[in-house]
This record gives sequence, structure tokens and C-alpha cells, in this order.
Amino acid sequence: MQPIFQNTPLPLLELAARFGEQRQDVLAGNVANIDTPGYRTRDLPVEEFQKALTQAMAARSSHAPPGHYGPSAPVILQQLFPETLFRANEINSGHVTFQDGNNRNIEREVMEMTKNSLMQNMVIELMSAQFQMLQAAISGRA
Amino acid sequence: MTTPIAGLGSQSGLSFIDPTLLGGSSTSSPSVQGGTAFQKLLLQSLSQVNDMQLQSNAAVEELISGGSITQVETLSAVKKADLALKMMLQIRNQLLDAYNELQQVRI
Amino acid sequence: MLKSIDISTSGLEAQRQRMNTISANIANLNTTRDAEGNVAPFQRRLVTFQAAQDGPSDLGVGVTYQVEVDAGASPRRVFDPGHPDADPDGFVQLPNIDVITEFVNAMEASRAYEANVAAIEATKQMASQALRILA
Repeated sequence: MQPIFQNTPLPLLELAARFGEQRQDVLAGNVANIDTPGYRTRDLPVEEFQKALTQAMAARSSHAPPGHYGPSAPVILQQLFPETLFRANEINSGHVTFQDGNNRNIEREVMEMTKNSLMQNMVIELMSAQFQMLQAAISGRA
Repeated sequence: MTTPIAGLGSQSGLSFIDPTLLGGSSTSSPSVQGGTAFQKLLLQSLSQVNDMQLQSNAAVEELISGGSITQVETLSAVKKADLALKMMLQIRNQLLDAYNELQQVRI
Repeated sequence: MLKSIDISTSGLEAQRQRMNTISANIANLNTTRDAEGNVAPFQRRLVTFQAAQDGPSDLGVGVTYQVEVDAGASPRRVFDPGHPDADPDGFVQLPNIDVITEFVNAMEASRAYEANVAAIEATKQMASQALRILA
């Protein structure tokens, strides 16, 4: 049964959605701590995550004949997306550290939150569209 | 995406239609010769639906991995694949209904 | 689509920094000593903007800013012999900061900030409208 889902973009979309949701929490925490002395801005590793996505896509197409969409093997996904990708680290944003030890930058935090929530909306809509397509195929009714 | 319908087109052939008939060669028996052009059309359409699914998948992945595709391109590729699949489903349903009707005629 | 939010944010940061320098100028309207306590009138600060570096496939570019000291503004001399920092002739050197100019700049920075926020709102609108394609 699993190959029905593994032959779609769904596994990667699920990972992206999970990443987006957890990142939203981290960014909300940054905004909430705008005035906290000594707080350092944190974020999830976005570029590393996108690299892992690209690697997962490459691994998948190396197993499939040309012109086909190979399955996303759960084993490979587990290797490429370790838990460290979903943990928040202090980021070196190069922004000014104020006298209270906080390296706040409210524009950056709000911007990242906005971008993240727009991306999240889109990923969820795409997941929903995939599910609907599968449903249409299964029920034989458009 | 290998849905039951799209998967048929991407494999080496449908089990109930002989692919050697696609060329419309003179060695084929008269009763299936008339159906060859239609079979060809059908198989072409199936592979087109499959191609659109593949394009939609590629567009989605390009988008979520930070590629240079715009949001609108991805969404319209997905929607087009969706509509193509649904069109194919309707065609399949109509064909099945027609076949069932023909079955009734004999009795 | 999302890149345009980055660009608007660079505009927001630049305008905020501009407001910071304007506030600093206004606060130091009559400052006659510098941080070490020497008699040196406060030099007016200003912010210069520059378009950010073009990437190979960049359609829009953001803005970068530089905080500079206004070298052209020489201090104004006011006759006030009773002032502790008056020179032997009785003149005090005060910063050459004009409140009206600073306020006008502040209004402009504030409007520009609003405009960038409006741009971000428009982008958000477009993104959520685009999702209707899927509906």
C-alpha cells in the first residue's frame, strides 16, 4: 500500500510541512523575545534542509528508469533528514547586538515568519491537491 | 505519479490491447484493424496524462527545494495534471458504459 | 514571489536605520562635547542608500545603507560667553543640526517605511490569491 504514496511528491511535501510548522514556532519565539536581555536569535537550518530535499530527489530518480517517477524510500529519507535538521540553533545573522545582549532585528523576524507562513500554506495546499488526485483515481469518479 | 490509470500508460503495454496493432499493419485481422487508430489515440492520451503528472511532480519539488520556479507555474502545473487525470477518468467511465451497453445488445 | 519580501524588508531596515540617525541628530541638537568629554560639537550623521548587488537572475534588488558623518556641516558658532564650553572669544560651537530638516526627513522615512509594509502586504495578498488556482 505504501508505494501509492511513495510514488508521489507526498513524502517530501510532508517533510517540508513538518519543517515549516516547527520553524514557525522558533520564529514566533524570536518575535516574543524581542525585548529579552541576552536572547540570541535562533532559526532552523533552512539551506541544509533544502539541500537534503535536493539530495532526496536525486536519490529517488537514480532508482527509476528515465521518464519515470521513482519511489521515495523511507530508509533513504530517514538518513537524509536526521533530527538535527529540525532543531533550532543560534544563527549568525550578522546583526547588531544591542546593549542588553539581544541581537534583535524585528524586520527580519517578521519577514521570515511571513515567508514561512506563505510557504507553509502552499505546501499544505499542494498536499491537499495530491490527496484529491489520489482519491479521484481510487474512486474512479472525477 | 502512478495512479491506476496513469500507471497503465507508463508500463510496456496494456494487457488487453496488443501493442503490435498500433502500427496498423496489414497482417492484423480485419476485426481489430478499425480499432487501431483509436487505440493509438487512447494510448497517446494516457501517456500525455502521465507526462503531465510527471511535470506536476517536478514542479512541486522544484518549488519546495527552493528552486527558481514561480508559485503560479507550480500551481497551474498541478491543476492541469489534476484536470487531465479527471478527464481521462471520465473518458474511461464513458468507454466502460459504452462497452456494457454493447454487451446488452447481443442478448 | 518570496524574494520580493526580502527586498521590502531591506527597505524597512534601511528606513529604520535612517530614523535612528535622525533621532540621534535631534537628541544631540545642543551637544557640545563628545563621548570622551572633549569639547567637540556633535557631528550630524546621515544615511546613504545604495542598491544592493545584482545577482545573475535578480529581477528586483534590495537596498543597502551606510551611516556616515556629514563632513559638509561645519558647526555653527553662537555668542554665549557664560557657557562652560565657550572659547576665549565667547563663542560656543554647536552642532549644525536643523530641527526642521530632521523632522522633514523623519516624515519621509516614516512614509517610506509605510510604503514598504504596504508592498509586503500586497505580496502576501498575491500569494494567497494564487492558491485559488488549486481550488
